[in-house]
This record gives sequence, C-alpha cells and structure tokens, in this order.
Amino acid sequence: MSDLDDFKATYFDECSELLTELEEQFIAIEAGERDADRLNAVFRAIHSVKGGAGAFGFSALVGFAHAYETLLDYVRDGRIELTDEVVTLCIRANDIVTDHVAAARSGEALPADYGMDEKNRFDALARGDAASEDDAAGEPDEEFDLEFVPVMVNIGGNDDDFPEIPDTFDALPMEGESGHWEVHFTPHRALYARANDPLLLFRELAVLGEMTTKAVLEEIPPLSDFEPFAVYCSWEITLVSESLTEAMIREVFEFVEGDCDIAIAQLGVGTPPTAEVKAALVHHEAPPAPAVAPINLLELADDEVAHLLDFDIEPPAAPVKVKAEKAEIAPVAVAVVEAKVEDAPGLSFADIADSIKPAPVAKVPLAPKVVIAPAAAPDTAPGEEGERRSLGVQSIRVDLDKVDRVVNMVGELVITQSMLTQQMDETLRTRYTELVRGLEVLAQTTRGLQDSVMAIRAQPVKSVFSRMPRLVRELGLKTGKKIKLETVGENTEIDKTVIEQLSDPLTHMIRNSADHGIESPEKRLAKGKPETGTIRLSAEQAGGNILIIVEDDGAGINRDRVLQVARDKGIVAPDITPTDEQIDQLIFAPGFSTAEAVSDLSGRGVGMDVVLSNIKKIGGSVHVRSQTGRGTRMTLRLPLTLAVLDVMLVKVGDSPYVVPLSSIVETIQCSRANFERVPSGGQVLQVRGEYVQVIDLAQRFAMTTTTEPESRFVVLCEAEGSAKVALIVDDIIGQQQVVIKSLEENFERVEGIAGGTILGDGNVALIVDVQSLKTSIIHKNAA
Amino acid sequence: MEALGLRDDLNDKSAAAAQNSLQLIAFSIGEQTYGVEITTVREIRAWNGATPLPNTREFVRGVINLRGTIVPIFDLRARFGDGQTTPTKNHVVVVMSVGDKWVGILVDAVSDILTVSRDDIHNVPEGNSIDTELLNGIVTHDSRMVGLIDLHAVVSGARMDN
Repeated sequence: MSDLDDFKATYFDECSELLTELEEQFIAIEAGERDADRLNAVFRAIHSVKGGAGAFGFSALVGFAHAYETLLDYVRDGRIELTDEVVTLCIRANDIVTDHVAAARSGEALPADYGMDEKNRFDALARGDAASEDDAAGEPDEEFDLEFVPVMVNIGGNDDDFPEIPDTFDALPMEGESGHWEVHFTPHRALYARANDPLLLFRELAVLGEMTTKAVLEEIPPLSDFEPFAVYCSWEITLVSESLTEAMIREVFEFVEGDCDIAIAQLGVGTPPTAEVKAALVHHEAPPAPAVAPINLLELADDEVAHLLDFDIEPPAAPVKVKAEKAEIAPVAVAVVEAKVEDAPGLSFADIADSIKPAPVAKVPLAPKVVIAPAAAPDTAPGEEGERRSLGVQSIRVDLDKVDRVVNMVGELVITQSMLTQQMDETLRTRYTELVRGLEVLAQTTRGLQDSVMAIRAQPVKSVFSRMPRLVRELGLKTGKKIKLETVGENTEIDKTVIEQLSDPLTHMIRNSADHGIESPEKRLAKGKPETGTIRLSAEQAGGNILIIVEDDGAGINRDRVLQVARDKGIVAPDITPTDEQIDQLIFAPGFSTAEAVSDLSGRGVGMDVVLSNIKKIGGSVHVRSQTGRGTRMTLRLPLTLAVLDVMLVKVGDSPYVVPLSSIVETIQCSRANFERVPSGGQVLQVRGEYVQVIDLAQRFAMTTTTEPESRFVVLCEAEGSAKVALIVDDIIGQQQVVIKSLEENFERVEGIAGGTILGDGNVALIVDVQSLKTSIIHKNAA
Repeated sequence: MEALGLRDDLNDKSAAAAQNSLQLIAFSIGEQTYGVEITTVREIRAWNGATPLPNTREFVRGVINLRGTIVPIFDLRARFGDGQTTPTKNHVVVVMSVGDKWVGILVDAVSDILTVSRDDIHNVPEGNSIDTELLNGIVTHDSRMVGLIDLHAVVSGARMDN
C-alpha cells in the first residue's frame, strides 16, 4: 500500500513541523507571552497531530493527544489557569507526543503505560476543574469526538442547490406500476484498487429506471479499528422500470464482476413493496451511523477525478444529455448515496447527481471539511479553480533527494564550465570573441544557478538554535545554576545537511558550558560576577564559512586539571609540556573527561570528541579558547555548503589527489625546503623557525613514484587550531572546484581519504583527509 | 549467430525462469567459469583504468566514475588469491548491485547467459575455506563447472586492517 505510505509520510512531515512549532510557542509562553494566539496555535497543532493519528489508527498517540488537547482547551477558555506547573507539564507532554509520533513512524510500540502519568495529571486537572462546574463537562473517558455525518454526494450535477431529498417511501414504486428489482451490491477491496467508483455504477443504474440506493453501514468499525483501505460499506439498490431485465442490470456491473458481490432479485411486476422491504428501509432511515466508505478517490489524482466525472450519457428513457461539471472531491469517501430518478421525460440525470455529495471522513483535521458541490456553472468554474490553485502554491514539499540531485548536477555544471573557461587560451580568445562572450555569460548564469540551488537547501540556523533555550532551562534546573541563553544571528542560513549535523555538537557544547563552565550562583557572587551565568550562542558568516560560537562567562578551562587527567589517561606523554592552547584542545580527545562523577549531564567522556568528529564529518573544524576565570569560547567553523569544494589538484605516483584549499597554508618546492632528520629516521620541516611533521603521501599511500625528490613539492597544511603538517606530493597541477562524492556510498571509509571527486576528464581523484592522516601518525607513534 | 541462439533461449525460458530456474551471467577468469545471478548485474563495460585506493587490499583495484558515482572495482582473480590481473582493453568490468551498493568486478571476459535450474545447484565441497567462503554453490552447464559467486563475501574485507 504505497499510497497509504505516502500519506503517512506526509503526515509525519507535518507532525515534525507542528512539533517544532509547539516547541517555539512554548518557549514564548514560558517567557511570559501567554496570550490567546499562542494558546490557539498550540491547540491547533496538537489537534492536527491527533486528527492525523486518528486517521492512521495510531491509537496510543490519539489517546494521549486527546487528553492533552482537553487540558489545553480548558486552559484556553480559562477554566484552568496557566501556571508554571501547567507549562512544565505541557512541555513534558510535547516530548511524549514527539516520542509517540516517532514510535508511530518507526512502527515500534511504546510501553502501554507510556505517558500515563502525564495523561492522568491532565485528566486530574481537567476533572478537578470540571467537577466543580458540571460532571458532564469533564468527560475524561469520552472517546475522541470525531463525528461523521453522512452527506449526500452529488453525481454529476449542473446546477445550484441540492434539491430536497425525496422521502424514501415516495421513491418506492407505486402499486402496479412496473418491474421492481432489488440489487445488493457489496464491493470488494479490489474494486477500489482498480479505480472503480460505485458512484459511476449507480449513475449507470439510474439510467435504467427509477432508483433508490441505501448504504449499509453496520459493518463500519469504530475509528480506532478503522483501516483506511478496507471496505466496510455495501449498498441496497431498488430499481423500478417497466422494461428492465436482470441482464441489463448485470451489464452495468460487467466491468466489476468478480470484484464485488451482486445479488439481484425481482420483487415481482406490479407488486407493491412488501412490508419487509419497507421496514428495512425505515430501519436504515434511522439516524445514520458514522458513515465511512472505502476511499478509492484518495488514489485518484485531481485530474483523474475530473476525468471520471466528465462524461456524457444518453439515458435511453429520458434522452437528456448530461454533462457533469468537474467536481473537486476532497479525499473523502462516498458515504451514502441516495438518489432518485424519475423516468418522466425531461427530467435529467443531473437530478440524481444533485442528491449526492461527498462526505468528509477520517481525515477531518488534516483536510478541512470540504463539501464541494459541482461548480455552479461551467463558465465560473475555471476562475475559481485558478484562484484556488494560485493560493496553493506558496510553497511545495520536495523530496530532499530530488534537490540533492539538482545540487549535484549544478555542481558538475560549474566544474564543466570552469574547465571550459580554462581551455580558452589566448589564441582562442582573440580568434573567437563571440565564443568567449558566450562562455562568460554561461559562467555568470551557472553561478546564478548555483546560488539559487544552494538557496533552496539553505535554512536559517534558527531551527537548531530554537531547541537550545529548552536545553539550557533543563540544565539550569538540574545543576541548580542560574543560566541565561543569548542567541545572535539566528537567521544566518546554512546548508540543510550542515544544519542537521549541528544539533548534536551544539547540544554537547552547551551542556559542557553549563556543567563545567558556569559556576554555581554562590561561587559567581563570590568572584564578583553576576549571579546568573550567560551562554551566548551566535552564528555569523565569514567568507565561505559559517562561524557558530558558543561562549560562556564561566570559570574557563582548568588547564592544570585537564593536563593532569590527560597525563593520567595516557593521552599526553609525561615528558611533554603542551602549550595552553594545546591543553585546551585536549578536551576534544576521545574518552577525555574531567568530571569527578558521571552525572547524567556530562562526564562520561563522550561528548566533546563527538563534537569534533561530527564537525569534521561535515568538513568543519572546532577551536576552543579559554581564559581562566573569564570564560570559554568554542568556535565551530563550518562550510557554507557541502556540495562544492575548492581544492588543489596534486599528483602522487600516477594518481590524482586533491587537497582542500581551506587547509593549505602554502606550497614549497622540495629543493627549497629545509628538511631535518629526527631520531626515528623520519623528517621534519623547518618553516620560519617552526618544526613541522612531514608525511610523504607516496609512501603513506604505498604508491610508487619516479619523481626526483628534488622536484617534488611540499604542501603545508593546517587544520583549525591544530599543528601544521607538511605533505609531500609529486606534482602540483592547479586549483579547481570539485563536487565531493562519497566513497562510502558504494564502498567503505578509507583511512586518509575524505572522499572522491570526478575530474574534468572523467577520472576519479581522491580527497586527502589531512586530519585523519595526522591522527593515524600519532596512533602509530603511540603503539 | 550465437547472439540469436541466445535470444531464443531467453524467450523460451522466460516463463519457466520465473519459477524454478535461475539466469546467470557467466564470465571467465583464466580457464574457470563463474556466474552471478543476472538480476544483480547492472552493466558490463570494458576496462578503462581505475584510480587506485590507498590502504586497501590488493584485490581492490581502485575506483571508477560511473556516470557521476564512484564505484569500487574488485579484481576477482586477486580475490581468489591468484595475484592481480594485468588488465587490457579486452578485460571486462561487470557492474553489479550488492545490497544497496554498486560494485564492479574485474574479470577476463563475459562468456554467456545461462539458464540453470535451482535444483541443479550443488553445495561447494568442504575443504578450502576460500572456496566455501566465496562461492554460494556450483552448477554444471554443458559439462563445465560454473561457480556461483557470493558477492557479499567477495566485496567484504577490502580495507587493510592494521
């Protein structure tokens, strides 16, 4: 049932948006903005989540959301005061709803009593209050109150209002009038799966004679057991016509034979309807049960529906040409079809059409209750249609894969274009001025295209930043510290992939600041600092990078302790005295933690190394600076986009490699470089008084090189905040832009290689991972 | 001539193929014939060089650009422990999907499409672990032995682990 999966996917997308909105609303509410608009927004969001969940049968989610909604409703109309306690409860409830949604999405079951405490508290709050007024008002046990009222479906229809539906008894044949047929029509699931619509069959039947239809709704289960694609509805149809034969009726069902059960019985010519039939009809006249019928319309695209409804029929009895107008049918079910056709000449088929209209079903909260009659007149229809459309296209939901494909192709285009431009040497330039001009325009257009495509993927960092106030609040509560969070530059935009990778590192960094950085209120006062500590979270663009800075005004890194712990854990050899800056960087070492006790906040020693590895994964770097007693500042430098990388193309052996330009400090010819021997037999490079570790890439990558050592090159690299490293390559070919391709997509991670890229000549070049080359050397030395 | 015969063979068998038979792409490494299920094969292309990957085992010949995607190439001869193939333009890369990944297998030549019955697949005789590890089974076709390659096993263990 891929269609259903599509609907579910859309629902989950909506849910995540709604939940984000909830989060934002509550941040404002917590900050004191307790106006009705916010509460309404919260209420709407929860209601939408609940409604969709009901449609898909996520009963646990529905149950919880319902209790939550009831509480919100009471808060909204003032029956319950919005105290801090209630706000805290609501924030907790948001988490539970989120968990429920996540569980529904992954298909896992949460423990049956999950969220029960909160639910009971909602109920208690709601009941406690309601009890004082009126017992009935609370109704904590009430089933969720989605109500479905069967609505007439208009078949075809060419005019305005729905005519009054004739009393069923009037519709029954008059005594001695003609042949009276009764048809029991029970469609199977397959009938709908093949895009058949009972409505169309009924229209055809109606042509045969005077028709009365009754939907049999007893089978419809309660909403919680409701399966969107199951068939619960069948019909009893009576047809009255003088010249009607069973064969004629069968002919109508010809195309759906096998996909439905049909029982046809003649009740006798000229016989009045038996008391039994009348009774049955009376029975069905009773207030209709929630009417839900199979939703095959759901499967039809809008224009397909239009096509189905757009038909010409020449009824044999009453030769009136009927052209049904395009009816927009919301994804709802045809619930009860009750139609009557008189065969008096002159009466058109449209009459039946008018007596039938669509009924909204389970999707109610997601799709607004839509009962749209066929457009009144053909000439007004297109206008309305157009208007509706233009309102609808403010934004579209696009699969990220599709955007990625475009981004990748634009990346390739940029590279091909730059390759073409490079091919233009001076002679060509003077000879083909038109061509050159064309290439310049192409270059401009490609750049524009690249910017626009990147803009599609770019998102404000707000989506991550907005989760942090919540975190800080919780951290404050747990540690007993007073912390305030300031955010700056929330509207800075970064590539979506980068944003997604940002949430975890930021959480760790802020947690670290709150736990280790900010001191307790007493300590702060003693030091003459304000009682409330501040964590400042900012984002800004700097050239081709985005800087995300987490800064606190806490105690700063306790370097003595860090060094001691690092020595104890063997991260730093006892005979080495690192600089202050190097000590600061130690907090990113795997397994490093200075916390004396493992709290549930931090101290497990995973965390800051996760920050480093996550940031490295997206091509960024982390730098930390600390001033004792004044605070710590951690800077994340992130690439603006992951799609295109500026690189230097080099040669090692016969293979092309590329080194990210951002990490290159300078290049030196080996003949001019100052190499020195070290006891291990290796080399170090002296650059302006600094000694730098040397890595011969040919040796490291086990490539055979025939290049004379003198004519090789040194590429001096530096990653943010760490020591330099000198890579030796055989040749430097030039600078260019490349699109990063994953090696892991079809292979696996290769040490020392960050990925691959495709060069202008179609060959693959590997991207050198400077950072991992360095660390692997360190590991080797340690071993 | 042979191509025609092949196509007839395909048509006749296509109905039965759905049931119990298996279609294989057969290729050769030296004198030996091996096969993989035809549904896993994505394309067959001539050897046109590959960019070597450092820090990998000798049977990883490198990576190629397959319409914008980087695909690793495995040297089947080297994988079987017979030393690296010295590829020429006549050597063939069979691009296949293994799970959700695409890989290329370097072989000497692609020889045939075979239709075999599942019932005719024999177990690989116990003995050398390389055989049992890399082959899923053995079938006989025209009195030749065809080893069914276990692709998952072939592409695993590619990284050099220090």
